[in-house]
Amino acid sequence: MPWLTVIGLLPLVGALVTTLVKGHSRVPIGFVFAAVTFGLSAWAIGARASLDESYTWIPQIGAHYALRMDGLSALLVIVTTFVTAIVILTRWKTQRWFNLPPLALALESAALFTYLANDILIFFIAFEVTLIPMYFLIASGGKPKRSAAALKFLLFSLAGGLVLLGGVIYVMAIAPSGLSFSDLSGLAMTPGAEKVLFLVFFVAFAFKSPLVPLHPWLPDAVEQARPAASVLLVGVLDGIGLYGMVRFCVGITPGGATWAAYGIEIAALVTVVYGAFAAIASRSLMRMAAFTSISHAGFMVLGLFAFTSASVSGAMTYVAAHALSATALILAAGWAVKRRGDDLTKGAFGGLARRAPVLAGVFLVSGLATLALPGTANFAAELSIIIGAWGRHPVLVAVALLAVLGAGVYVMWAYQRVFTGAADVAVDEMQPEGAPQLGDIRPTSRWAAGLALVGVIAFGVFPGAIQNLVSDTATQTMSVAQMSDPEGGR
Amino acid sequence: MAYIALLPLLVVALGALVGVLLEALVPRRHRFVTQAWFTAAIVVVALVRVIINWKTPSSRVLAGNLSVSLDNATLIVWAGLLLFALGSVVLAAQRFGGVSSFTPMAVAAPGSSDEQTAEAEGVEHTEIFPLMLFSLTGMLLFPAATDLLTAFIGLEVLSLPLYLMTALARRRRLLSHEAALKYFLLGAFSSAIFLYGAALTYGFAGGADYSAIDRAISLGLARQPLLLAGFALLMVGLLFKVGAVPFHAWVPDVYTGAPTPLTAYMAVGTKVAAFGALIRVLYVAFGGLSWTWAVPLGIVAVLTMGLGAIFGLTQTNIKRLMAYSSIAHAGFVLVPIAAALAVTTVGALSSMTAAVYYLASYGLATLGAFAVIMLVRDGTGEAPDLASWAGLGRRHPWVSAAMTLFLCSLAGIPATAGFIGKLDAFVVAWRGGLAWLVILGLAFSLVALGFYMRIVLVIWFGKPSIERAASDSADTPDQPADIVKVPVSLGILMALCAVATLIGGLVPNYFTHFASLAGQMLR
Repeated sequence: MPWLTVIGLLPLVGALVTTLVKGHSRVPIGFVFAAVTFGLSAWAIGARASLDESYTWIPQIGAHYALRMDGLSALLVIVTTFVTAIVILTRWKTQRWFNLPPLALALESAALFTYLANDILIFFIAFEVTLIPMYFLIASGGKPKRSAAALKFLLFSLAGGLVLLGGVIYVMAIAPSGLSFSDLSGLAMTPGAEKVLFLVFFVAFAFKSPLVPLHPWLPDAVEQARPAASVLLVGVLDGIGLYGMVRFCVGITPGGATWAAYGIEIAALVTVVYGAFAAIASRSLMRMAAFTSISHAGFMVLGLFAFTSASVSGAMTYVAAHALSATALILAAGWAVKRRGDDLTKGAFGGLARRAPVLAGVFLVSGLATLALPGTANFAAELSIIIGAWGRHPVLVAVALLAVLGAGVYVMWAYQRVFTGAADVAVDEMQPEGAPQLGDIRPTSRWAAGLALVGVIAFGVFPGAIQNLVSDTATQTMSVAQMSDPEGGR
Repeated sequence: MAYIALLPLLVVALGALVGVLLEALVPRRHRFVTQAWFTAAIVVVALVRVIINWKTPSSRVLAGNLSVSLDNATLIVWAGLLLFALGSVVLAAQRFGGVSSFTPMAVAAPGSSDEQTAEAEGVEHTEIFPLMLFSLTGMLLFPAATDLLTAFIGLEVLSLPLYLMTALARRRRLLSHEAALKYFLLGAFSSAIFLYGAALTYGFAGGADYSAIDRAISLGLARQPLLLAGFALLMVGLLFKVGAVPFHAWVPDVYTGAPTPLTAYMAVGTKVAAFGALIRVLYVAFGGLSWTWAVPLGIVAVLTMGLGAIFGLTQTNIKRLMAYSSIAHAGFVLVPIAAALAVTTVGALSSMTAAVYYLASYGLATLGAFAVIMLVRDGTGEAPDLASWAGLGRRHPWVSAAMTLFLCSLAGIPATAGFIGKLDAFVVAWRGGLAWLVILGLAFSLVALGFYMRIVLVIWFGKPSIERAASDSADTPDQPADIVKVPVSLGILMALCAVATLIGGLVPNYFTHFASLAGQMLR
């Protein structure tokens, strides 16, 4: 059986099936598909060495239909399937927006093919196809300016996609034989061409990650879309940025990557600091979550381009940790917004914890994970990046760390302002108009958020599990870049 | 023997003549249906004949005495033309509420009592079907010709019926007349320029035969002013037909004014035929000059892509949008053509392969889009105003999904045929040494994406403006625009276009195989 294809197509079948049924039954059916995909990919991780697939696809340009699951792919696949299942679970009892399950499953399918592709053309196609369901997810529900936010998302992403396409076309024009990542790792180029191609790839994935100044689509999309859509955007799609940098920027143009590494570190630091300050200055809970996410994306890029064993594998594990903690944080923020509006600046508004204690707990734990509290997956990953990168750029790391922690502290301050204190009349007044009085979150929502947090804590307590998973990709990345750990560091 | 190989063209020409006869013989009540079926049957017969030719390699001949080349390139272009013509016939054969898209009485002044009488009596112009076949004859001849005079005859035979049919729209007849007159004047002018170019080239080469021109150029007379002048004038005529900037001015007006099935016919048929002819003229006759024409043609491609995509951004009429879309796509097709990448090994990527694949993907998506345009109607007919398309996605998800797919393919989004078309085109251009053209092409692809996504946004998330329809009574129809019940034939057409668009994007090797054989031209 071509199991990787099955894993990729199963959600798509689910999307079609859920399109054909109507109403609320879409949710359980969609959840079953998401859960089976999750189970199947969990099994596939163990057997991944024997699952490579490759068939001739377009002989004229040397493209193959080739799928492969290495450590980093496996990690991102499992996170993607997990987050999708959680998102569908949150819609269990809702009475509207039944378009979520088909769109989320279609998105999942495209994201899985992106992570599994072993041919740059397949990668590119899947990468672009993710945009279509995401566009509809953002545009089909949420706040009034969602259409503009969706278009902004789409145009930014497509701009990045076209930059990538330029690089892909160049590679296709000069590639002697196949287009798989392993074929291309030894691609002969002049140093000048390699540097330019690296920059092209880097800009393309900096749109996706996103790095400042290519980020403006993310806060708008997260703020305007429904929380479930925002979770998919941050938890499923943001990983593509770092994944692409590993595969393309380092994998195809290692010479360019080491040449530009210091400049990239500066750009990453700018992103970390900017994201942190923007989060602190946010007046909206959702925007705050989005900016902390941008800040973390910068931190991952910083880890990758420090080129030490610890920081590279830390960056890879951070993708997974961040996806899980951001899922819980954005869900919790979304539920809080539903109960008291999105504005953080209003006066007396605390006390949501009295009315919704479980929600408060979810927000607190995910906020602490964002702050990288020891015992969470974020801590393990962040520590790994810091230990590794310290040997290369101690000052940069110190500044970045302070900024990330600053933003995390701000999340906790938001918690304080939203949840703690006495529940007074003001809370009711701040509810969005016409919204019914809401108590605590529903049991299925508790399950959904709980599962994400269990993931965060499990990987925090046993960080070795995911670090072993990505170790093959991390080692390979280091060897392709021809970098060794600095003296005295790790 | 050559006449047998030429049968597809002869069948269509003969079918056109018999169609005129049918006008006289068949009673009026049955005429429309008879003509529609007859025309479709003729096209299918021609198509079958093309397939038989394809299966018999001995039919590939350079028929010098007939001034046509019946090679792989011709057969592939013919197959595409016949398929698109069949789709256009399906569009033309649609009758909504018992009336076709064409005016009941072309000679009557618009709004006159004659016209109203004709309308009341249910008179119809069924001549459009033979006219389409005449035009198709020209379309088949134009890309197959190996002689500038034969090419000119093909050009005229394809154009004259189109000028006439442009004037036959049922609604907005004055606009239709204006479009027809504009098309005729500009078209006749460009044909004259083409003919003048042919004369100058004849003066240079001593023959109008493509191979004679090629021989003369290879003798080292390439810098002759006569040759350059003749070549430039020929290009004006050809670029006018494909709608490339700066010879595009007719496209938006004519596409908007013409009856929609005819707009579709022009957008797919004329374009494919003209590009087929352009490629043959450039590569077979003027191949030796490619150092001279590659960069100017690239510049034309940039201007065409840019102008089509940017001006299209501001349009509000869907037919006008499709016109600018067709201009932009003409620019994208010119990208691989300018690169002049010859066939090196059988089955390799060449300029012809990329252009053919691009045209096929463009034609499929455009045909499908026009089918949807015909379906969106208000009380009086089609509703081409983009505002009346708002929110169709909620009410008619399947048709809207098909339209979204066509628009995605036109925009070049992966997993559709349009993406593979653009990819091939750009790879060919890069290998041909026109990297600057690829970079500019990518930039304009982004503009074009904005252009198509705007329509998608309106279809799925636009708010239908009910107040507008209610407030002013004079202009707005009594009934808001909606998708009418989909006729079976249109449904099948849309489904086929959609499936082919998906196959072309996901498993393109079935199509790229044929397209890669198209590069083999007999000269």
